[in-house]
Amino acid sequence: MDSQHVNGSACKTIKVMVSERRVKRSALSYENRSERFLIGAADMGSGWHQRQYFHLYEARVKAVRERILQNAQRMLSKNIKISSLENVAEEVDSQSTTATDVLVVGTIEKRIRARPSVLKTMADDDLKMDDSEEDGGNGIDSEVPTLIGNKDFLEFEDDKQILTGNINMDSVATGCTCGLFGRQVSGGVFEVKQVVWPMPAPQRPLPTFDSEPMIAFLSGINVCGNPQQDANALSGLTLFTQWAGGQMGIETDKAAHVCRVVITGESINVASQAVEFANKAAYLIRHEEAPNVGCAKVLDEHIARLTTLMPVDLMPGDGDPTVALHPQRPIHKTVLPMAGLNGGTLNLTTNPYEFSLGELDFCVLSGQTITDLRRLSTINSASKLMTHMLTWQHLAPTCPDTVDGFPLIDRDPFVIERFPHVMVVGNQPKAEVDVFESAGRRCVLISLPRFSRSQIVALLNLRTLKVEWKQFTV
Amino acid sequence: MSNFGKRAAPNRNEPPTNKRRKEEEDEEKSNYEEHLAHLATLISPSKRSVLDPSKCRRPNPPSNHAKKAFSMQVMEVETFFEPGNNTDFDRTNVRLFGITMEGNSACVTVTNYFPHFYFQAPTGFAVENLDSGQKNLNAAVANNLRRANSNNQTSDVVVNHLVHLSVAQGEGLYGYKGSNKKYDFIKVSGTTQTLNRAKQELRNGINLGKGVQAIEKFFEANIDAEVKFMAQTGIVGCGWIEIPANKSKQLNQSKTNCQIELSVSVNDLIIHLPEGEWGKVAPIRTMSFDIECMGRRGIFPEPEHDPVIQIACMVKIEGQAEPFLRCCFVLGTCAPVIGSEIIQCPTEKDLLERWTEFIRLVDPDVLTGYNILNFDLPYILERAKTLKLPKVSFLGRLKDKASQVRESTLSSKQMGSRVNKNIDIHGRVIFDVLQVVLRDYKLRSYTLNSVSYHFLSEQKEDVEHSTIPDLQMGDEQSRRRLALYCMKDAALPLRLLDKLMSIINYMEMARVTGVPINYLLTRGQQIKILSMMLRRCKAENFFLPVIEVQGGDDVGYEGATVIDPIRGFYREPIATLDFASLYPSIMIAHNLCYTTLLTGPLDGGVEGKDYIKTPSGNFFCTKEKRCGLLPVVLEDLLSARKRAKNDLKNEKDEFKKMVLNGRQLALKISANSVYGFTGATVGKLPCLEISQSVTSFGRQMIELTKKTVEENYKKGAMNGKCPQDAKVIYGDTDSVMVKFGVETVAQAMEIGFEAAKEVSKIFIEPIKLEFEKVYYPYLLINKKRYAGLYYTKPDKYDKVDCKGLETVRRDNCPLVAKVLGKCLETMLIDRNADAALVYAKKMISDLLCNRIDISMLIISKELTKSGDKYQAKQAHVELAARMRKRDPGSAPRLGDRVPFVIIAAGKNVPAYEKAEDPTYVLENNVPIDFNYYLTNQLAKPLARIFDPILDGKAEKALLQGEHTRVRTVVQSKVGGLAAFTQKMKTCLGCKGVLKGDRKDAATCEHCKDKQGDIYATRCANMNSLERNFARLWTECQNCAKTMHEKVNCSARDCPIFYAREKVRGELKEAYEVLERFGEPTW
Repeated sequence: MDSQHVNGSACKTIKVMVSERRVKRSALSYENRSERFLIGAADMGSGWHQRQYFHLYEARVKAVRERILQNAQRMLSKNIKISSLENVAEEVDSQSTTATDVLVVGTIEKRIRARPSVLKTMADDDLKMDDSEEDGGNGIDSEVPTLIGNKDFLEFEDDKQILTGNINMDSVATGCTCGLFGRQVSGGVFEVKQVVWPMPAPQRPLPTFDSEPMIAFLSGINVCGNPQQDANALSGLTLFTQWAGGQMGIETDKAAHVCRVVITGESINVASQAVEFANKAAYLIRHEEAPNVGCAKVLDEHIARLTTLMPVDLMPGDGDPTVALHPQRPIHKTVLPMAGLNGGTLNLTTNPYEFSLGELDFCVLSGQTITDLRRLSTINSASKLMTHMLTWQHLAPTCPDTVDGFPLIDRDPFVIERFPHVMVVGNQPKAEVDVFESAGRRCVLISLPRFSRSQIVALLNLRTLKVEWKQFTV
Repeated sequence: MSNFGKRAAPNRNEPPTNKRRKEEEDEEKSNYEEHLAHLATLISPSKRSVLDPSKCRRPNPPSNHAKKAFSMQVMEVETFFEPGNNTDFDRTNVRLFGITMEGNSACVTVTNYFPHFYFQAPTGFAVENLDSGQKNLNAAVANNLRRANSNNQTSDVVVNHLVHLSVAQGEGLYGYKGSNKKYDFIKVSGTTQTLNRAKQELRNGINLGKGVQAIEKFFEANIDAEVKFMAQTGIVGCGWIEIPANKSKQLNQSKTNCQIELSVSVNDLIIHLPEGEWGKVAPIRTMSFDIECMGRRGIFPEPEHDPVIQIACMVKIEGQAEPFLRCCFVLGTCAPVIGSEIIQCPTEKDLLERWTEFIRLVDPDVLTGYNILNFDLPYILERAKTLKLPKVSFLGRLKDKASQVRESTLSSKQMGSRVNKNIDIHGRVIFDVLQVVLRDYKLRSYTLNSVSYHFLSEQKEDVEHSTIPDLQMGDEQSRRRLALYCMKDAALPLRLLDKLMSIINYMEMARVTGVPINYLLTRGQQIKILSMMLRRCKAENFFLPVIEVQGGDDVGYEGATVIDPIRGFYREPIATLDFASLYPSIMIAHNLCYTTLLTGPLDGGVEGKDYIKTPSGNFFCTKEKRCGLLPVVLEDLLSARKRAKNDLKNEKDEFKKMVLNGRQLALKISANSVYGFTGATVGKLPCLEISQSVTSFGRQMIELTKKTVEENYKKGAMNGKCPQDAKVIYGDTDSVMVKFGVETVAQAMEIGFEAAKEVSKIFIEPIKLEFEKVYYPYLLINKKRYAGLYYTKPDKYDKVDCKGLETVRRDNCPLVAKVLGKCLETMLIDRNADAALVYAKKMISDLLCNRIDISMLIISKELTKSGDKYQAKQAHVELAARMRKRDPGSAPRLGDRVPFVIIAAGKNVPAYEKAEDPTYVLENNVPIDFNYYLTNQLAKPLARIFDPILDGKAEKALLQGEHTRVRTVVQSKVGGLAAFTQKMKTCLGCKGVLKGDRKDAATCEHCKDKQGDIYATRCANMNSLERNFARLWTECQNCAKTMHEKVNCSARDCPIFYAREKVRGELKEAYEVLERFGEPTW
């Protein structure tokens, strides 16, 4: 209670001071290109809740089939044609000695024994069945332990087409759509010679800047309602606000170059508390509010201060008060009444979020899809996983399988349609910067640590595309 | 089509409900016919795929096998009649079907074996009379045969050898007559057929040398020919036989489809006991299959009308992990399935005939599947009759014997009465997994799906019957889909057999008891005991009398005793003293047997030394006079069990542990059923004197144990280790629960061990009181109802053990078991009765707020006969009728289990109208009668366990109180006034009705400021719904192993089936509420 009060009064003083010494910020053209991540009336349609998920996979194949064929013609041969798996099998049957290599297009399925499963959880609860077999799991030092074991295998399309050859578990994910060039070696085994990913989407030329505008990214403020736990993140946020407002008296020039802040989700972290709340007996909580209500208020105050300085993009993530199914719709304005007052500088966005700033194309993820990929592979580095995503030309292959997704019917918004210049992923264990370069495309990859743990903000110089990490601790 | 539902015979006489239905049916039918005709044109002969025979065949047999020594494992035994001619007489020969170690199938015909029976030689009979007696009897039998069949032209050779008489020394099984003297018995041998005639004629009277005499009492005349043959020769089920080189003849005309066919005289046969080297198992071929039929809407497939459209087969060799052959015979075109052979057939005739050819080619020893005995096999055979395809019914190994279906009723005390089909597939064992599971496991549901879930933690996509025609009538892709289901249905039974080790376990059982393996599934417990008795009797020259079954089962005797429980919740360790194998050891200790039974005190004998009087007033002679047969049989079983248990202790491998555990359980069951065998008045050898003596001894021993323990372990006993007087708080049949008043499990164990050892001394060997477990704490509710935390080691408990509580009962809704189980766990393991109570209250509150998953509330009953045949109106029957009106396609059919929930209805609505289909309830938001579940289902069982803690006030505490006051009112979409009510939106904050320009908004004017809080709260709840929605549906997608196709599963007993349906509706509502807040952004 006390700390909130102090914060509240601090808020006022900042406002006054800011209006006195408003730093001049460069205004760059901004375009929000996230239209396709919004679940519109057409997607909801009648009876969306009656749908199953197979439509989404169908849409995915449809979306990239042509691009895979294009890429295959580029990589392998002009004459290559897509064949179907069934025909491959027939060819083997009729003339097993002279089977030729073919290209088949479909969806990869990683059969992972340890894949989280509602049914298994229930069965374990009921029966305590054999869990004696321990797979040699990879004890990689990561936030989420990985679930990969050595009995896992890859399947293609539906059921029992086991993949071998030039393909490995980590280079693909369940739900990846790709072409496989190879041949069937026996009944249920397809030997892969080459994996063909969709043709990379076109990339616009890099824009040039005469000044050195900067954009700030931070993720995972993780307000949880407990003042002690929240202290680091909130004071860090206050420091950042003061710094950006030029009040700290240091680096005022640099601060003035920051023209936009993107907060990439997990601003509120009550996931576990919320589950508990939802499961409590109704008679005990009938007069209570959900634990995220208090958190939303705290967040609102802090964001409000930031919005007086510059445009703020607020993305939703795990635990934020919005829908949980991907793609996530923006956090509702009604939750952040104060922050909304400052002349529309608060920009509530979807997750994923794509925008252009001064002709530079950004693609930002709150991080669930990357975290899920890490859990289901042995790769730990976020930038490596981002590289994979760009190769796959897909932002969320494991959605809807292990990342909860909306049952879309005729489109897959996660397919990359414009190759970004900058890709940012929030809520990762480590801060990382890397560059992706392939097929004439170049993309800066940024992985953001949680602000609640690190109080780190990434400052990206739009001209040099260099990242500066800045920590805001007391 | 592996739904358990198909178990019941379809009711074929059911008239179509109305004319319209009939027309629809006809139209549908003609559709099918067109479709079938169309299919035939689709497949050109060139497109037909052919199975590679070299893949299917068994390895080639060695040449000239008659010249070499030959051995095989016997799987099937059958007797057959071989008519005589001018040079040879009629015979009953035996065929043994089996497999060699090299994997060749073989059939050995055993000749020179003659079935027989005995009767006691009439007084004054002399050996010289045999010849004339035989002549007279033969003449009478020949006459008898001629009467039955006037055209019978039999040669003299045959007539003179119809039966054969000889003298044997022996004694009837019942009673000890004062000495071991043997009597003259006349053995009549011949063929099975002539023996029956001979029995008739003997009953009528025959001159056996001393004038015409009628014989009343026969011995061993009513025992299955196969069992008698095996007992006579010593062959056991699944045991090995050997034929020395040059002792067998190769048949010049092949009668079977076996690779090796030999004929051997019974005297040249070497029988090996299944021990040591001969305990091995041949590479048995198991074929699992499943059929799919094209049903018509709302009607269970009938073989007279509905074609078979697919048959999937999996062939495996016992001991290998995966089937080596997977295939599916499909009617019409079908896209290929990777790793499996798809055989496309243009017509149903082609399909059935090629499938039978396939069976003969693969030549499996064991046929398995799920419910093949009562559905798939009869269906195919019946269908073959309808289509006039005689070839199809030759599924067995005999070239001249078609398979036939008979109905048989099997009633046993252990399993109740059930009607099964009986199918002869000569030379192959039908090993239906459903029958195995029904026999060995008590489950809530027996559908293939739920059984697979239970044992394999795996499910299959369960396709509703009504979608099968759509898939069949679609294209080659949709038929491929169907083929995938069908193959999965064939693969799962194999995996179940593997997991449950059923074939190995049953093989062991066959070897222990000596009966053929298929008897274990088709017959009751009695035949096993009879087989063991017969073997023992043969060795000791006793003859089993034919006992006419008299009257019903109502001749009773006093059963086991129960010491009145001192109820309560015991927070201290309670030691349990058990009599190990009580009834068998009583029989051994007191030498209780048919052969030792006396009619009264033994003449000139001394009680206690020469004979005993049992507490029930019966007399038996002692071991000194004669050792009983039953005690010997039992000792064999018990020592075999002891060996198995010892091996079990030393075994590290989890899997082999299961086998050994299965074996020791089988031995225990067999040993315990000996007692039941003597008490079964409708059985083959009833002897109530034995069974009532056994129970009376048991009662006496329990009382004596109680007395001795309470006297010996008073305060200060065992050098002061006993802190207070021991008290027996409960005892039942073969165990007593003792409170020694100690504080730790270790102390209780120390005294327990001592007590068991000491008390055992007062009983005769091998009766032994054992100390095995301590309950701590222990909740004793009533007779046969208790729960406790079960310790066999002092430091760590083994499990929560419940007896007679609703956690193990199946007639309640799953919620009861779940709540009860969790409460008991909390009380016993965490020792926190308060937490258990809080949990119970939470679940009650959840129930009243409609937050319990509906699958937890489902009660199910089997629809066994159509509505008008039930006397009173029954809820599930009424519901089935209502469902049929709504949609005849998906309504339950006879034999299905009807799942239902109890819905809220008006005050005077009778109970049978309150049952409703759970899916309908979910779709239409029908309110559930939570009070019913609270008072009729939960209250009593919960009160029972909480009463000892809450001083009998539990029911009140649970049914009333704060947690029952918050309730969710569900608005039904159907029935009553639902159609006339217009729903006004209410403020999400204060629940006031919204009016005017805010009528579609989220809140009213007053609550506007709190809108953000309300939104956030709603989100928290919605997110958990979203998570459920996504995870449940992707789980289904994963379980069905398809990403690109719709999941067609309708497995109602899948734990997530209703949950995934319910969450759909809830999520939709939650999203709609969110929409009321308007656009999220500016």
